[in-house]
Amino acid sequence: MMQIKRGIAVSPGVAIGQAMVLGTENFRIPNRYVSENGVEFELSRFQSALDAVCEEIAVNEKLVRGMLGDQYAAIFSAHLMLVKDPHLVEQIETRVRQNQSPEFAVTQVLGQYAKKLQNLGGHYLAERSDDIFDLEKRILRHLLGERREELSHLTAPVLVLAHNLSTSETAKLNREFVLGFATEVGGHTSHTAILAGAMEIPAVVGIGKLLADVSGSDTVIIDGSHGIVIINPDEDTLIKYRDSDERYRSHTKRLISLSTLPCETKDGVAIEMLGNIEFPGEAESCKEKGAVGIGLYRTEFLYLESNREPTEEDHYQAYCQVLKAFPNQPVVIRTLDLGADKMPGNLRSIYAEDVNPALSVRSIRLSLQHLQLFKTQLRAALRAAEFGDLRIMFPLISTLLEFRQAKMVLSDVVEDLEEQGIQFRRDVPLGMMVEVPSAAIMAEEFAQEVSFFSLGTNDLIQYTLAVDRADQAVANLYRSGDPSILRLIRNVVNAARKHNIPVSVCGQMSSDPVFLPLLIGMGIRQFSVTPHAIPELKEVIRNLTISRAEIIAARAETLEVARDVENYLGGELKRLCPDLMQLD
Amino acid sequence: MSDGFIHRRTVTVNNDQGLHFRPCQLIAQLAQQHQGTVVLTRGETRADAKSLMDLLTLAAERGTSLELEATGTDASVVVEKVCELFANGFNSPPPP
Repeated sequence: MMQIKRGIAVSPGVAIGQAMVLGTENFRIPNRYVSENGVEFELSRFQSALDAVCEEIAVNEKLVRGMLGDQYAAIFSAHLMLVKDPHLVEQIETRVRQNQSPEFAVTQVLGQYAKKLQNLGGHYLAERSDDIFDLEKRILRHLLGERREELSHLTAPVLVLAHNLSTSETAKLNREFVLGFATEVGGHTSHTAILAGAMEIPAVVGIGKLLADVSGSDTVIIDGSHGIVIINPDEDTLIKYRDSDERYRSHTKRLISLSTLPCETKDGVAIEMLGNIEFPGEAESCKEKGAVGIGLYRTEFLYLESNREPTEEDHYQAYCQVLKAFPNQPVVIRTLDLGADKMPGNLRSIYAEDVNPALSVRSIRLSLQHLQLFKTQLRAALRAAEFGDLRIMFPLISTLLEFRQAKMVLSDVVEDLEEQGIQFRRDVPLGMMVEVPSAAIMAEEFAQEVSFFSLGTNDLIQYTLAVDRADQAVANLYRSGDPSILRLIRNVVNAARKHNIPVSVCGQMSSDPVFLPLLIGMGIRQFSVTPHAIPELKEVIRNLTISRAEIIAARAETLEVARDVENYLGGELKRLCPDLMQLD
Repeated sequence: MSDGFIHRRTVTVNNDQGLHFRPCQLIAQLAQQHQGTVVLTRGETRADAKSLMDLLTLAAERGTSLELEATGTDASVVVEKVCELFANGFNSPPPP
C-alpha cells in the first residue's frame, strides 16, 4: 500500500528506486519483514552475526581469565552457551523463515525470554534478564553494523533510509549508487543536510517515524524538492514523478545555461557568488556552476573522512587541489570547525560525553586547546597560499581575545616556517566567521582587527534564538527571518562598511532565494553558497535592481516577527521571479 | 535410535542458589551430548534440557521437585548422569 511521509526538504531533485534500510544500535527494528527470496540471505546474515558474537565472547573470556581467573571467566562460557542455545537459534530462524527480519526476530525472541525471567520473581533471575538484553544488543550490533558496512560496498543503485546518518557516513556515500537518502531525524542546517546539498543527492530529513513502515526491497520515491518520501507508490504516482523528474532536469539545464552570463543586478551592480565546499573534488563542479571562488572550504571533512587526524601533507594536498581549480580567485580556508565529540581518534575520549557540544569545546576553541593540531593546519595553509589567493578564516570567534590568540598562533607558525627555510606566503588575509551573537554585537571592534567578515547564519541563528538546529521538537523555532537576526546582520554590515572590510554571507540563509533581495538590500555584495544553488540565485539577481532590493530590506527591517518577514519576502520573490516557483 | 522407552525420574533441587546459570549450563552441556530428547518439567512448565534459556525459565529454587524425562538410545544413562548432578548439588569443584 502506498504511504506518504513528509519531512524537511534539504537537497532538491527526485530519486526513484529500491530502499536500503539502515538502523542503529539504539534503534532496534529497522524493518519488520523481508521478502520471500531474501530469506536465505537474511538467515546467513543472522548466522554470521552469531558467529561474530561467539568470537567476541571467546575473546572476552580469555581476557578475563588472564586477569581475574577461571571463576569469573565461567560467566562468559555461560554467555557463549546462551548464544549457541539450539532452542533459541531455532526460534529466531523460524521467524525469519516466516519473513521477519533477523533484527526484529532477535528482539522479539530474546525479549520474550527476558520478560519471562523478570516475571518469575526472584532477584537472581531478574538480573539474568540483563544478560539477555546484553546478548540482544551484541547480536543487533553485528546485524546492523554489518548493514552499515555494506553502505561502502554498494554494487547497485539504492535509496538510503536511516534513522540518522552521521556526517562521516554521508561523506562516504557513494554518489554513483546512492540516488537519494531520507532520515528520521535532522533539520535544515544539520551538517548532513548541508553535505547532501553539496553532493547533489536528493534528500529529505526530519521525517519522524519512517523505518518501521518500509522494508528492504520496497520501491521508494524521495522528493528532495518538496520534502516528501513515498513508500510503495502506485502506478499513477510513479508516472507523475518520472515526468516531474524530467521537468526538474530541464529546469536545471535552463538555469545552468545562465552560468556564462555575468552575475549582476538589472542595473549592472556585480554580485560575487562563491561556493561552499567540503571536499577538494567539488571545486571543479563548483566552477562549472558559475562560482568565482570558494568562500567557505569546510576543512573538517578532512578529519571526518579519514577517521584519523590528517597530516600536514594531507592538508597541503587538499588545499593545492582547490587552488588549482581557482588559481586567481579567492579560496577561503576555514580552520577546523568541529566539536570534540565529532573528532576521530583520541580527542573524543578526552571530553565528557554529557556536556552540551554546541556550547563546549568546538571549532576555534578546540584548535586553541590543541595547538599541534591547529599549527599543522595553519602550516599547510600558509605553504599552499603560494599558489593562489588563499585566505584563512577562524570559526566561532566569540571574543576579541580569542581572535588575537589565534592570530598569535599563526605568527608562531610563520616564525617556525621562516626558521626552517620553508617557502610560504606571508600576507595571507585573516578573517573570521561572525556566528556567535557576541561577535556580531562587537562587530565594530572586530572590524578594526580582521581582514574580512563572513556571516555564518546557521550558528548565528542557533545561538541567538537558542534553538538546536537538529532537534525536531524545536526545529520550527529556528527562523532565519527573525528580526533579531536581521538586526545583528545590520550591525555587522555597518561595522564592515565603516572600516572598509568585505563582508559575505556563507550560511544556509544565503542559499535561499527568498532572503537574497533582503541581504543585497542590506548592502551585502558577496555570497558563498551551496554550489547547486548558484544558478537559481543568479536568476534572482539578474531580475533585481539595487533600489528595489533596498526598498525590500527597509520594509523587512520594520517587521516585528519572523513569520511576517518571511511572508513578505516570499511575496516579493514571487513578484520578482514568477518562474522560479513553477516547480511546485 | 530409540529403544521405545521413556525414562522418567523425579529430581529435587538441593543446592542453595537453585537452578541458576551454572547448574543450567552443566545440565545443558550434558543433555546436548545425548541424541534423544531430555526434558525437565515443573508443573505445567516443560523445559528442553538442551536449552540453557529454557532451563532458566523453570526458575527452580532449592527444594523444588522436577520431573526428568529422556528418550532415545542410552536414555537411561543420561537420566542417571543428570540425577547425579542434582544429587551432588552441581558441585563440580570449581576449577583451580
